[in-house]
Amino acid sequence: MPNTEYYDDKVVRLFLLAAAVWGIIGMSVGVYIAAELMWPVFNFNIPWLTFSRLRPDHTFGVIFAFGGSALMGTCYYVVQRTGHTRLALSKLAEMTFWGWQLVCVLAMTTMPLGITQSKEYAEPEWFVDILIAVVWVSFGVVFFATLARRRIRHIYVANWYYGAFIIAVGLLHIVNNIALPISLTKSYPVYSGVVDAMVQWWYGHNAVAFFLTAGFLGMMYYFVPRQAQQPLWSYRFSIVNFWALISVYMWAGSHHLMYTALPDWVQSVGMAFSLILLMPSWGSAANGLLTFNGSWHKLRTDPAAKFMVLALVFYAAATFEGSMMAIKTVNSLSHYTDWTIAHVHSGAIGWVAMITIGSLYAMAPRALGKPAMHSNKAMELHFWLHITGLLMYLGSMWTAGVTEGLMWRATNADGSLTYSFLDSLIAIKPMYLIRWLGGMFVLSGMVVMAWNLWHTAADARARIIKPIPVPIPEPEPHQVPAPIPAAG
Amino acid sequence: MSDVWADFWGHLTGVIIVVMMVTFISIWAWAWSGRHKQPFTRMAQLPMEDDLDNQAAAQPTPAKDQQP
Repeated sequence: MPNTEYYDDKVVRLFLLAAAVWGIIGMSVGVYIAAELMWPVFNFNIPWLTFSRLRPDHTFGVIFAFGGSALMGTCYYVVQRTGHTRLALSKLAEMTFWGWQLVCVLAMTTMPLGITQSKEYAEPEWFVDILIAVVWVSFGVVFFATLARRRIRHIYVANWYYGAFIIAVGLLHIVNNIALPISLTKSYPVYSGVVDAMVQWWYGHNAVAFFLTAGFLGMMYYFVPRQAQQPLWSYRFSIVNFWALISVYMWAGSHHLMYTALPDWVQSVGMAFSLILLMPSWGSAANGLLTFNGSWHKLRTDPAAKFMVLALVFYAAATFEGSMMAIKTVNSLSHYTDWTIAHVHSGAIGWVAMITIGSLYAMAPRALGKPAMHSNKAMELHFWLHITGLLMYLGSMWTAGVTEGLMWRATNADGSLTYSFLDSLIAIKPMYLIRWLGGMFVLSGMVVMAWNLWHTAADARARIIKPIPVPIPEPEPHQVPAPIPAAG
Repeated sequence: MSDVWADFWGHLTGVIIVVMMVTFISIWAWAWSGRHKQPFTRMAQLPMEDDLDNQAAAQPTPAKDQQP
């Protein structure tokens, strides 16, 4: 029996393709609804084309379809490389791919038709939720079964983050979506009133924590050292940060419900934990950035490294901003304004999208059997399109948010409001134009990336890629665990 | 009765804080313990081994804060 085992990169390539496609779809919807805010005529008086119906398609499309595909793909790639083992349960892994694509298609076609639970970031109805739970548990089974057959005793830190991401997102999704279906298309949550709100934002905030932070930190802790060709600045510090991050994040969700019917002390707990959260957040950002010490020259030639460094800068900036916005007095100005939109996009286009793009550019050539991406110039162009769009988006939405906050709270001497809501809307209208333009830049960058990936994938399409062997020390006649044959 | 409850909650929160502080410090101690230095140095090399031409991954360099 041959003593070789090959990495299973087929499912990685599938997720890579899905991420590129969903990125374009999710961001196109975003650009379209941004245009609707500027030019309401784009509603065309068609219910499913209105902002309210399409907005969940944008958030689901970029977070779960684009982000989710990128996370699952990189997770399968990283757990094999850091464990020196082929993916366990290849068939189940491929099922998680098709299952996840089915989830995304079902969610994004039902939500615009009004089939929704009306819970932010958890809009899909019960039958999609059950499918999500099944796919997610299978994803966990593949991941942990692969870890179980690793050939390196210690578990590399990126896998700690991926593991926390899988366990916590499964827990959050199931608890928040417990509902009683009354028909195929309608269900009611078992929670009511302020308890429902608190469960929803415990979920919502921890979706940020464990999907958009822990998952992408898993990506960061593997691909940043790989791209910098330097070991992590401090491996042991990354472990302390891990435990601090996952234990503090769980308690911060109530900062989404400041000045609501939620008991005041619960709001204060959320605020206090949000402030503490700054430390593990900046710990990871610093660890990633300092890893580039001695490799800063790579920024001149390597666009993937540029994406990663800027992603870490925006991670630090967005988490600082988030902690500040959780302070009650700041929140009284920022809440319900476009400042929140600026904050979330600083995290989403700045941190999440850039670490994903950087990691995909780092991983794609290896997974597609090429020495490098097809075009370095296209990556460079993508970087500048992305950063231009991001800065236009953030600048305009910060300005709009602070304008709204100040106009809404302004009162006359007799206590009446100085401005009507319409006054504030007219004041920020130019900002909506700039935001739409910024979105166009980011979207064009994604199209450039898809073009570049398509050409890099030429060998993959021709099915002439040689599988990469797992480095197993030779000669070792009786491997534990025994190598899995390449077929399958 | 209410005094008893107040005492109880006071002691309980105190104990929880002590437990959390001990846990936090233990995590630092675990991460910094001497017996982890060698495996962590090996771990920190893993991402660089994925490069096309670097398959052999030469000599392990310790993480920067663990270099002599």
